[in-house]
Amino acid sequence: MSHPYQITALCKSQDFAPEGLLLAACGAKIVSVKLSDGSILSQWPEQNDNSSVEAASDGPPGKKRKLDSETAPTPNVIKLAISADSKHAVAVTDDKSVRVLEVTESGKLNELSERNMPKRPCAVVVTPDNKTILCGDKFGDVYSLPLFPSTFVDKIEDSSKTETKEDAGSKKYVPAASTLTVHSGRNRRALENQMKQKDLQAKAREGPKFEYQLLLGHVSMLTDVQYATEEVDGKTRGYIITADRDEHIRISRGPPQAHIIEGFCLGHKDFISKICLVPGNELLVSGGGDDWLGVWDWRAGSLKEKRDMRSALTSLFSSQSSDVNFGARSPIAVSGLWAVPSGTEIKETAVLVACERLPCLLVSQQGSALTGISLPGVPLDVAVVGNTVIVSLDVTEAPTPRLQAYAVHKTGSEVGLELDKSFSLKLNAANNLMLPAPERKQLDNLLYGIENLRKRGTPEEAQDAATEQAVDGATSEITEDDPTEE
Amino acid sequence: MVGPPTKRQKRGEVPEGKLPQKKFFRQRAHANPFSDHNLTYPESPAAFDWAELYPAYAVKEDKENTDASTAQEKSVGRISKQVEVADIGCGFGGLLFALAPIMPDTLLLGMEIRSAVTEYVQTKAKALRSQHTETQAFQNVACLRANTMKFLPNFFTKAQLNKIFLCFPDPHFKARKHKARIVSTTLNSEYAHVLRPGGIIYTITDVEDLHNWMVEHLAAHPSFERVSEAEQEADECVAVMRQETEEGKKVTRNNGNKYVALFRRREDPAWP
Repeated sequence: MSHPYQITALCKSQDFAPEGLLLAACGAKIVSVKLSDGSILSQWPEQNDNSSVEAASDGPPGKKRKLDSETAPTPNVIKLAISADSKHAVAVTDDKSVRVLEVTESGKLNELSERNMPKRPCAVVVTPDNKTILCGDKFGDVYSLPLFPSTFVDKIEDSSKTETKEDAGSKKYVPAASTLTVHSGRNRRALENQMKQKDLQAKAREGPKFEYQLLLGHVSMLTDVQYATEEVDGKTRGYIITADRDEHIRISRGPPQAHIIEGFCLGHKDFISKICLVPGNELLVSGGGDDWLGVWDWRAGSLKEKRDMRSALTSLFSSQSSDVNFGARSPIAVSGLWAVPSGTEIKETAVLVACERLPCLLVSQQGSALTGISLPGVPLDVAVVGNTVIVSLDVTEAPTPRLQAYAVHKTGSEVGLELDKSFSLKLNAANNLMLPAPERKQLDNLLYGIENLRKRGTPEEAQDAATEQAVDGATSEITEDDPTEE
Repeated sequence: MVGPPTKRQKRGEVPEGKLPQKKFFRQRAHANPFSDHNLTYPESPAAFDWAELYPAYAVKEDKENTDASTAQEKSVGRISKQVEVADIGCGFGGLLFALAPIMPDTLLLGMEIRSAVTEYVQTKAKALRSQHTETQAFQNVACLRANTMKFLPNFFTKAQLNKIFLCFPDPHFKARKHKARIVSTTLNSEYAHVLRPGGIIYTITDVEDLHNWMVEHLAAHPSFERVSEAEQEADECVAVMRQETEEGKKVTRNNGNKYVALFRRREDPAWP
């Protein structure tokens, strides 16, 4: 049993690796694979000793962990972004840290910096100028970080000015409320207590000690961030496109005018988990908890098309003797969208769609209906290498390989995927690399979190009635009194 | 088991045309803006049934002209005018009902997160309308339940609003609750989005700390500039906001201070 590759990304061709370099994250590790011959060039973090790997795989974990206290449980890689020049990779691990890795000439990964974000990042992109990281977090905020953190102290002080979220209120503590603003009995007593505690120091929460800037924010949970560009009058305009759990896709200007919202793409009925820019035309594809994919003219904010996924999935899973139980009411949660070239022209682009826990990929091509291709496992990520895609599958048991290559082919107007055997053979080294997997439950938590974004309906009436009853008992305490009435 | 009538039942006993009583609509003064609340909201401003809120302004659908496609997509309960004034966190609606006669030709919308309080304002608007059928007064006021911190763009299109009122918002004293405040650097961008250039955000609070916070964050936002004091005092809405809001009356009774600040939406700069 081995850990599946949860994230894959392609470092485009460089001199040493003409077909490119595949970076595949497997638990806490990132493996770099040279695609021309399939050799594993390096692993990050570098393996210190082989024993730690084995130690984690068997035996009671608590006991072993104490023995090798220096190798604390390493955090899993949850996001991976490659800079446009393919020279750097940005890895986000689930300990909220953003690490910049240098991809060296020999395919080695060198950690250049580690920055701990205040909140868990959920999306990360590198702007096309290779200078800035855009990092969206769970609390809905998007920050920009320079790819290379500055080392100057004065810069850091400067950044604390741009960061307005935390107040530098470490002065003398004064309660913000006063006898003029507090009226109910209980609150008045609380205020008196606060006044007595004169020495109470307000603990000013310190922000990160590196240069960063808050660009924009949603009050909702952020799910995806993309950076788009457009040429107008010879100048490049940048846009930050953000998607959230409350069905919004927001189009903001790129820095330094990220405070200006250009528009919204509204129409989803359930959460949005992924957005994908289609190169060559002005379209954005979005997916989430709805039964359909949205195809947007994102600059106009208009929904061009809703592409039904349910019918494609139903026909895929009913036509064959598959053991996948997909019914008319089974939830659909899009976990990945990837634009792949389906022809020679730039306009010919298909979008591959992965849905959580479903062992298939859907192919969406403009002008033809969605089609589905079933796979030997649930696809976790897709790396696009020219007209081929490397699909990472959630299979922990041999002999099914965890990474397989599929060729994108086009017959007439239909786009399909076909197993590329010779390419898949090249991935043998990566497939044979065994890394210990945690228990299934833990693995599921790492791999499948999208469906949790769905809102759970609780009976509104019951909820309201409950809060009102609570209020009934304590009206004088917490609701406003109005003696003028009656 | 039949107990005494609940508040909810008593609310329904208000006779047609009579004003509702506040005591049956009390609800805890705080709501968590981050939770889902089982809200209903339109997927976009165009998909909302505005005619239900403002029946006097409803556009009568010309049945011959509406073919299936447009009827579905666009003309759900259209009204002849757009809402131009939003009172975010309108509470019991004191400001709305005071402003309605002052701006009879402008549509005002109150937005409140507490369901019982929203219901009160809706009932009161209905009662006032039926009391003024001849003059058609109060047809321009409506209220809906919404979490504007999340769903403002679901109700208003870009540059639709002329005025936004933020009256006596929840102060969220604790530092770790500051993200729940109605004014923040990131939320100000949304206010700027729905306000037209020249439009004004009105803020008033009795908590000096919150006032400073709102001034600091709105002044720091490149899309807003503070309105001068002279202009502020000349604005008739400011006097109404000071005296007619329910919370304003309460602060007056308790001899509290009222801090007012107005901010004007600037024109967007050209692309760099």
